[in-house]
Amino acid sequence: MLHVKDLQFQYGMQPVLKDISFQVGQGQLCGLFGPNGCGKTTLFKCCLKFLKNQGGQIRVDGQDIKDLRIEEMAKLVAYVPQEHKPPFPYLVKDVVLMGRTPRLRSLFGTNKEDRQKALGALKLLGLQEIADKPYNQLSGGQRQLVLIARAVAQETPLMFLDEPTSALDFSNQIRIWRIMKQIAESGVTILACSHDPNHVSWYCDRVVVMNHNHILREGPPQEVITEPVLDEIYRNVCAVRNLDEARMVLPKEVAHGNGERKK
Amino acid sequence: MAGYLKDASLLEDIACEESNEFSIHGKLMILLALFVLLVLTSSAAVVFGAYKISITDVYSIILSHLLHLSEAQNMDSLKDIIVWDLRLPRVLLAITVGFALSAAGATFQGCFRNPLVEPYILGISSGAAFGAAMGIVFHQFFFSIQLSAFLFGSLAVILAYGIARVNKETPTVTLILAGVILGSLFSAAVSILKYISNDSALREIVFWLMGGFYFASWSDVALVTPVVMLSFLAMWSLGWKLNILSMGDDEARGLGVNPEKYKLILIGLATLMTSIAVSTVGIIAWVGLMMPHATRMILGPDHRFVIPASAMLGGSYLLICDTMARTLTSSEIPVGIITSLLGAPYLVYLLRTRGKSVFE
Repeated sequence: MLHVKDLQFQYGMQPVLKDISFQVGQGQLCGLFGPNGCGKTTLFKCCLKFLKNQGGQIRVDGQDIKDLRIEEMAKLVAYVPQEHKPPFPYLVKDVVLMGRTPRLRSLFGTNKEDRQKALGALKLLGLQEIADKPYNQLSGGQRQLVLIARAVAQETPLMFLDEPTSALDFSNQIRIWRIMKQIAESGVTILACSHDPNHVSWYCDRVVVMNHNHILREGPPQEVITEPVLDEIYRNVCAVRNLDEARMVLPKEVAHGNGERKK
Repeated sequence: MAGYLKDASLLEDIACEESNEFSIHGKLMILLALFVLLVLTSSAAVVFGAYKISITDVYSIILSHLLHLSEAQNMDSLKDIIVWDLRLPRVLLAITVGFALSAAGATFQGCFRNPLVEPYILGISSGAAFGAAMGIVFHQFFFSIQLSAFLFGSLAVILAYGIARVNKETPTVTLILAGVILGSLFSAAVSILKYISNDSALREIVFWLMGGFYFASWSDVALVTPVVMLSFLAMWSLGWKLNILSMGDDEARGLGVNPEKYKLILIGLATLMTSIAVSTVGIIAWVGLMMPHATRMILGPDHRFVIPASAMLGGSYLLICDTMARTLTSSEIPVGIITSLLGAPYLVYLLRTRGKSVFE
């Protein structure tokens, strides 16, 4: 569904992305994992065509995005930004309805089908009760859910989420990952940035690990989120343990240092 | 496109009955009410004036003109001139300028994602003021004061856009900064012109800067009203796109709305409206800032409704202010003074009562 080949990007003389190649199949939930400043956001923006890559090729659903207009891109790819406050107090339902914009036929407004799709997206994410509240007065977690509902209403085969769980409490983080999993199972391909190695190893079908402007490893999480890989990007911070079925990434001193704590 | 079909089923599984949740009925009623308010204020405004003319006389004069009855039937040519040639164009021009400033204000606020922006933000007013001052001081070189005010007002915006445009993008912050820079540049230039001009020219400049409808004529209405109304309709039709733009550039792109293109169109329309209004009646403050605010408090932030509602509210407001300006005292008060006097307390009230919810 998403093919990225030999992608290059630089700001001025500063290279940001070097020889990036990976692909994500239909219905997969793919995590994009890496330390701060490794080029994740830039890669994201190139795939969304917000930034123009200087070399390489990005194909979405078989089409080179170079040939797609902004209006056409929005029918293929939905973008969920990090939660933020807009300047005007739009109601939650209106924000979700904005997701229908690429499919609006009339110049002026939305039709019955659009409104139904928006209500459906609100229901899917369990947001009916706050549908009439102003979006900019919600908590961070609720705003993130609203933005995901908007992407669902957009009905695109591909969905990009930029650190969807960064500002949330633990239960909301897990809730968002579960919803992403559910959306992926319905056939939508998802690419999500994340800073949490546990989240990507628990929920993603595939993980792309980035470091220093290139891709370090790529594959299923159990092969990619390993101690050697984490050591390479985080320099002796993490230990990986297996707890029954689940894999846990722990700080080294927590994994080894039980004895010390008893003192 | 199999994925997309499966995704559609995601939403159909939980198909919803159409409910009233997106009801726009109430908002349409408010638009209708504002239209009625506009009609009522304008019918009242033609009746008020220093020269007392009875209501029946006023309307029989207007009707006879509208129905093209022969002049002989009119009872009094003085009354006819006052109502048809003085008051009516003035009323229409006040409504038009109110429409222009308020709709442009709403559009600028949406495009710049800042509810404190006003239509003069990109230096239109100081550009137009400079143009007018040039036209007044060097009247032998300039075809008309109005034309030169219009040209310099538009020039200010084009310059602001040119200065702010970096790497094929026009970030909001640099655009507003460029507007501020040009504003102070043109203001300094106006001060120079004031300094070198003689007494009568100085007086004319000062009056122009205060803004007013003293010289409103049918030729002004014929020039300004069609331009403003057409731009207004075009702007209104882009109301939904403006909602998307106000979420930010990246999100607009993600939702399939090209921010560069539509911001250029919308800012272009708003500039055209503002500069033609300013060049005709001078600088009238506050209307373009206050009306979109008041509208959002009445019917929410959806620009499909904010644009027409704030235009109609602005038309009524400016009409009321202008009627006060010409009737309160025996001589005229510049209308810009009245809009400012009424506007400042309103903004203080806003700030004190709902500060956070309105400004954040």
